Amino acid sequence: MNDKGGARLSEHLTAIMAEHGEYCLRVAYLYVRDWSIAEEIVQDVFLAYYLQQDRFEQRASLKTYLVKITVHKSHDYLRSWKNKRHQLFGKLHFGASKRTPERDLIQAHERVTLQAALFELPISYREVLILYYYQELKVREIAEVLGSTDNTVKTRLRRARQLLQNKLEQSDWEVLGDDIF
Amino acid sequence: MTSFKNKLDKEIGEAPRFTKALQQRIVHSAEQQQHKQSRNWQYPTMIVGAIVTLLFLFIVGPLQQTAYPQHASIIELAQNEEIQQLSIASNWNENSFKAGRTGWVIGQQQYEKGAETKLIENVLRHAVAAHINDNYHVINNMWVEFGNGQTVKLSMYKNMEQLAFLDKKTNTFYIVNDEQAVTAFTDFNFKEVPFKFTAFLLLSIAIIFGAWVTERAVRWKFNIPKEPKYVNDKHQKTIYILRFINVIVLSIFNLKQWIIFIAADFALILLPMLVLIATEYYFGRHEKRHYVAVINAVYLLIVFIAFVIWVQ
Repeated sequence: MNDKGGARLSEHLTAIMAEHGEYCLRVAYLYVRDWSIAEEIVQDVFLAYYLQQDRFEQRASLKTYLVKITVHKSHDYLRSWKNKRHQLFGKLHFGASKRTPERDLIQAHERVTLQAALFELPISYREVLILYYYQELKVREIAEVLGSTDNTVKTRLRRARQLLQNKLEQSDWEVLGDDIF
Repeated sequence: MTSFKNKLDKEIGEAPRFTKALQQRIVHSAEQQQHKQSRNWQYPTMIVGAIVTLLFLFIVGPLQQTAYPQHASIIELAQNEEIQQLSIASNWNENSFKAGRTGWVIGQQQYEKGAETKLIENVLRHAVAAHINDNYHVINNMWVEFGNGQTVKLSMYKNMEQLAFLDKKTNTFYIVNDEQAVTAFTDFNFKEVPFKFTAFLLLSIAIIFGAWVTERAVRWKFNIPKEPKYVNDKHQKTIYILRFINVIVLSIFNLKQWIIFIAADFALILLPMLVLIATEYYFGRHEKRHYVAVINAVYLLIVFIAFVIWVQ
């Protein structure tokens, strides 16, 4: 590829990132709960898009396509040894730390936030909530992103809402009660 | 914006996180990758390596059976040397030859030095050279290795209770005149294993069902979509071209009669599978489509190996 072509592609990539970078990063974060890893994932997402643009056939919107890559890259990370090691060390460190009343109070407060409640959910339930409520994708689009059926997505959404309801305070849940699929 | 999104954004922070620095880092990496990844030699190298290895195995195996020089007639050989290995394959076609080095040809009876080889030695010792006689019809092909390392390929002919042999290399025809030797040999050779069609049918159905279940399980485990069948038009074209090449290669193997060689069949299964795995990886790795190709290849190889062990 010549320099002109390369420069054009870089401009194109910059434009795509300006439009879609932020929400891809946020989706990745909501999967992996670590901004630095989310940045790495998003970097991989745009690199993959840049190097294999011909694969995008515009059957779905670019947003759905990029979310799909982000979801797959996030899953790859969650399955990786790097993540497992990270989690293991995290647990070991947590076990070693001393519990204090102040720490317990902070943790009790954190537990009722939506973010904390969301991260307590298993990934299969968390992701449908992220994609439906946060990314505002339709059930059909979520099914396409996750490679499952519409009914599976609907079932997971229903169960995820129930699980989330149990974890949140009633006032917080009522705020979310308006969003019905 | 949903209330969910609104609340979550407040909790994780509404300030943009996707900074200019991160953008520049990605663009820089992309430009570097673009130069680095002009050619991905990893998969072509793997496939070429596999092809060369299989060709090597094929050349050192089945093709070696003609490497020994032939100095003596089969009568002299039978009189002076003991038969070390013997393989027999049924074949009624005079223009083809289906027996080969033991362990290399599919669907043949194989014998090491023992009672069976003694019977053949005895038959061959009583053979005499004669003109080719149209009253005889071919029934078997035999590959024989003698003690001095010399190998011969013989077509076995039958006429009522008489036997004859044609040395495929020298095109010399031999008739066996000793009835006792012939009877002893035919009693051993024509013990046929009955073909159980029901068992064969059930086994085939079990294999097909096993393949179906395996594929379903992999698709279910890894959420691999069945539809659309092809990732894009290029993928579809590539698969069609591969299928076309497969049919051509299969026809050539059939015409050349290489299909009887285990190594050739192994290559015939493995090479298209490797190419298919590489193709699926190239086009559909984001959907993990190559997992299905890998599991299919493994399944097919296991079935093929089991089949080879069963028929040997």
